[in-house]
Amino acid sequence: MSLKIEIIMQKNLFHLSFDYWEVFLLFIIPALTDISIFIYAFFFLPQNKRNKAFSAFVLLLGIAQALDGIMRLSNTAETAMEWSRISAAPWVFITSFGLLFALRYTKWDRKFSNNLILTFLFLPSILLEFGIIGGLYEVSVEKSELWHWIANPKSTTATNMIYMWNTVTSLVTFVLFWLYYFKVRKDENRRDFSLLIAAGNTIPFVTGITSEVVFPLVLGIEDFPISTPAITIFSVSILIAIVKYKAFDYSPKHQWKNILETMNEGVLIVNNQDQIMYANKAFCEQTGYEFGELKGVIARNLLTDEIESKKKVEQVIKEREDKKSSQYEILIKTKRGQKIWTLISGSPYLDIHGNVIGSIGIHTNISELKLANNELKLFIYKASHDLRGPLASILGLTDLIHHENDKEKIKNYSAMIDYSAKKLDTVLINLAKNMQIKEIDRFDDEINFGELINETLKRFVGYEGFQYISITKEIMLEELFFSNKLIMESVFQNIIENAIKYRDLSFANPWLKISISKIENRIQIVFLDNGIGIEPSFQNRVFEMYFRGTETSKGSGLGLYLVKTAIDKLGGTIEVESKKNNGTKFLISLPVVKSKVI
Amino acid sequence: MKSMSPEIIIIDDDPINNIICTQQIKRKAPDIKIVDFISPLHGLSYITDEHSQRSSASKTILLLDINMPVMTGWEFLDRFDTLCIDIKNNFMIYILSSSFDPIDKNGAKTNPLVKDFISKPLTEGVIITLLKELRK
Repeated sequence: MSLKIEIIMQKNLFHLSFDYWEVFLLFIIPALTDISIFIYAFFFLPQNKRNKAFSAFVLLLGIAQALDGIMRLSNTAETAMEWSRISAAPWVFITSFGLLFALRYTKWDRKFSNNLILTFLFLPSILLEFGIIGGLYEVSVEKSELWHWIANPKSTTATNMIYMWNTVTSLVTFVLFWLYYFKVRKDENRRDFSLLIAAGNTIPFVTGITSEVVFPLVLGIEDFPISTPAITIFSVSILIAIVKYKAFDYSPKHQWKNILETMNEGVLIVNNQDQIMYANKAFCEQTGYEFGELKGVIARNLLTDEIESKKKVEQVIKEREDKKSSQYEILIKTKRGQKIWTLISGSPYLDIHGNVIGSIGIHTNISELKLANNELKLFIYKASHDLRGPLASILGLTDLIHHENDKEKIKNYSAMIDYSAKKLDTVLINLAKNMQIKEIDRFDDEINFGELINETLKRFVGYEGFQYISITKEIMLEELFFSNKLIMESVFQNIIENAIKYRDLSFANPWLKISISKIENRIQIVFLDNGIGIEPSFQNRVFEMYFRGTETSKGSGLGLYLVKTAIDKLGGTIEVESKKNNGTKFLISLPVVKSKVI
Repeated sequence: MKSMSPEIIIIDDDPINNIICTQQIKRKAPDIKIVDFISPLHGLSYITDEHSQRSSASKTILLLDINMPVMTGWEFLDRFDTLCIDIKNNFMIYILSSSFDPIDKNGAKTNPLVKDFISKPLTEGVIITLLKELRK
């Protein structure tokens, strides 16, 4: 018996005629539009709670519109009745999903737990759905002037409840959108799309009231079916908000995993026991570990070595328990045992109920910064001696001149002021040169060593002691050499200057021999002199900033430091061999740069 | 027993500073004995040679620079510390430096041999205080 009814029903279902273009215009086109939006939202938008609610809303809306349209194509009253019943099914859910979307879009859903919202929104829907399936939803079918047959719901308790449900949820949705608009209307980024969505929601809302209440009751026009198609305006307005106004693009949530994996800073999430739960790619690269090696390991045991760093981490863990964020610096040990200074910005990691379940830290490698800072500190304090020294002398001398009447003495003091000022100037020039050298990034000057040495020597004409020293050069180089001219000049200038300054005054013929050759793919430059030499215990310190190796030194202590900076910049090495009172040999080895092809 | 008059010794690798100090002190105390060295080693041998024969009646001020090649002021003080107690007791050592590195200032404060840190250049006011100390 029941089988027979089903067959009849199924037969009845397809008694349709397709000669109403109005149906296509008012129902099928909106339905296809909504289903297209669903496809876009579901497959092409990032899947988060808000977009899921929207997807469900448009899908059900599209289906309902299609079913409503099919009902109006019915050739028989039975067919119309069946389709009307089926089309009622999605409706109890559509407005619920609409409201769910509104709550998630306005972010007011955060005030309540997710379960509470879902229960309040969908328990009534499910109960009403059972009512529809159980046949409580009754319809009366009549012959329409516009269509073949149409079905209208009868006013029963069940249908009234469905109507009530749809009205209440739609009304709340409507209010939420406008409240949100008034809340954010001063925010330029959110003003436009929030207005668009609120207006897009208002049109079907007003249309619904007009066509379902005003038209039939006030004007006596029945069955003017525009409320259902009008809802498409709402879904299209949301689509425009998403696509044109990028409404949801700047919410970091939907991209957070992507951001975490591509950012330069390391991100580490640990639980309350300091066990590693998550580490991003940058963190793994920083520390040299694979995530597999990190997962579940106690972070401070693996990554820190020093008592101080361990203590710091333990202190931080306590702070996190009190939900405090903080920034701190510790030394982190990499897999290879290297130690890197790391700046960590840490925050408590909370579960959805707000309980602290761990800590999330953003790790930035600040080793280079620390190094630069130390160098700067050293520079400033060291500079105090080399810059303030001559300056203090000048101040002392001017004070002496103030109290002096003897012209000869005053002349003498002025000469000393002149000397001190020049010394100060030399220090500043050398510091500036050092800075310049450090910033050089071009190494494609063709270096002609013969010319380079001649040009450098020209600059020493008139320099004290230059006329007494004999300088010879031997260049055994067949191919072209490319480097940076400024750097090479600085190297030659400073070593030659030292050879002149620290020549052995007891010798009748001080000399300097410069030889350049190519040995095993490297350029080797040797400076050999018969000067006063360097005491063995100072030899490893001569390249230090401000180090001066002899009591006769009048220099700034920067010359060989500059040379070292220059050689480092070129990726080369410099060694010194010397005996006290027995000459000095500087041995420079430079890699051959093949930067220019002729 | 040699000379009993008070003495000021200056050790600084910068000869100009030594001239300034000598001239400034002479202006305030023309009869005081001033000796200066640009080499701490020479200064040290002068002290060991001359002062071992001195009575403890007269005091000596030592103005000592820190940043010197070959031997720093601190290294000088380490060597000075090994001298006999009679010599050491006669000395009032002041660090005279242009440095504003806190390490140097703290070093001067914590070193028991050092009385104070004087920032270059040596001024009239400081000289007056030094001379008062010397004549106490």
